[in-house]
Amino acid sequence: MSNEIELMTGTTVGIKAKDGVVLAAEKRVSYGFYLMSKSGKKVYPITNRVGIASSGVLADIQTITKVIRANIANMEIEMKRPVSVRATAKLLSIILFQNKYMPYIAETMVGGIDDEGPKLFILDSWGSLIEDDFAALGNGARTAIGLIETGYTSSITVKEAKELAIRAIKEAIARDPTSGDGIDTLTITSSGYSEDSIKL
Amino acid sequence: MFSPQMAGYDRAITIFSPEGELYQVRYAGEAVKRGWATVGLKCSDGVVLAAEKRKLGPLIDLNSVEKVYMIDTHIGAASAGLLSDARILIDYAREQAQIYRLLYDEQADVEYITKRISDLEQAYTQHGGVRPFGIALIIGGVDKNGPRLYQTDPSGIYFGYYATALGSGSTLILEYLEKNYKYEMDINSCIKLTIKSLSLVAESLEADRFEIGVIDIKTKYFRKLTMGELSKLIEEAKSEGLPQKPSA
Repeated sequence: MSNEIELMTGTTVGIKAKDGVVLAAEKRVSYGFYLMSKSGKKVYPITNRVGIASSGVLADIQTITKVIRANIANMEIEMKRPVSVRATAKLLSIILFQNKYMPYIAETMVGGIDDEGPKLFILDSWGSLIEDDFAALGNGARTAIGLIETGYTSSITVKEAKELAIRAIKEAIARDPTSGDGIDTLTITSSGYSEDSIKL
Repeated sequence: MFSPQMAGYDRAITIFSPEGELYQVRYAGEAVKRGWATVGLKCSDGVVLAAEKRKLGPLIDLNSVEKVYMIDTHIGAASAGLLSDARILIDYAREQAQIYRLLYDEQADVEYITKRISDLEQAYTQHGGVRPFGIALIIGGVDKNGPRLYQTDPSGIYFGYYATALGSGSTLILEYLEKNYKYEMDINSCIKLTIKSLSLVAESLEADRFEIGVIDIKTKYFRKLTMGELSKLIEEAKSEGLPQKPSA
């Protein structure tokens, strides 16, 4: 595990639908040849309308999530309004960039719904911030992305997007040794978020 | 000069009087009351910030005197009191607006900037070795919530307003605004109402005696009225009829 890229374990998928956003990730926690846990959670709601999902080192994923949650909770109280998806992603981007010489080993996506509609952003370890319609991150991304690439249309609904995300992660699990053991999903629409966990 | 009870309690800002007052903060409020008249108005169409400028000497170039400032593209502020203190707060507010953009990739709310300024003002009423800012600001702008108008004072308190005035003659201006203000106005009527209210205390009605900043709801962009625009609106306000100045 000398290569940083090889530490980007797992598979994360995010799809922007016309009525919301779907984030999904598998549950495997592996260190080299050792499968340490089958119940790693990598998809988290941040607010009622914004969530994040990551691949990489679980400690880093958990830390990033907690830091963003604390900052955004505080910001929402201070601003007296729901925070935008872009603001959440930009803040995370700055935190990642500030640590660029000892980076968090995690690739993250921030998705949700705000005044401007459904939004999805992806971030690498160093904090680059890219807005996209769909994305796949982690070691399994190379396998997962093909399925989404052909299955995605801009008129996709949240329901269809969730099915597509699950199929894409299953495909990655079939060929990526660092991915597996179940799928967590987070669906965000204008009426709030719902979490789901699928056993394999 | 001072009553026996009061003696001594105005020596340091961090000492309360037995009545629970901080005299230095109150004196800072006096500096605001003696400042040149400043008015802020919001209407359904945007926000207007205006100030009167007095000719300090026959050779002064009033165009170089600034009392209405841009904080960010969508926020402006007008000040009354010690202008040198205002500059420090304005620089701070501009910096905070840019930090917010850098952190969140969006424009700061007007209330957020107001709060940042008020927090700084409050700190200068509680720490040793400093004095309070002798300045009050009217901060206005258009953000996600629509047109917004706030006023801060040296104590660090802030309130939201539909219309407000600061400085000498502000009581007169507020009286006039209370009778003539309404929220549903287009931006030009709002500017003219501001000019009319300032005419109650203004030394003269020449264009260079006024400084007016406007943020309308469509462009959400702060801009200062040019001399040409000012002269035109002053003429229009005159033809609509200016309020009667009370006899001294």
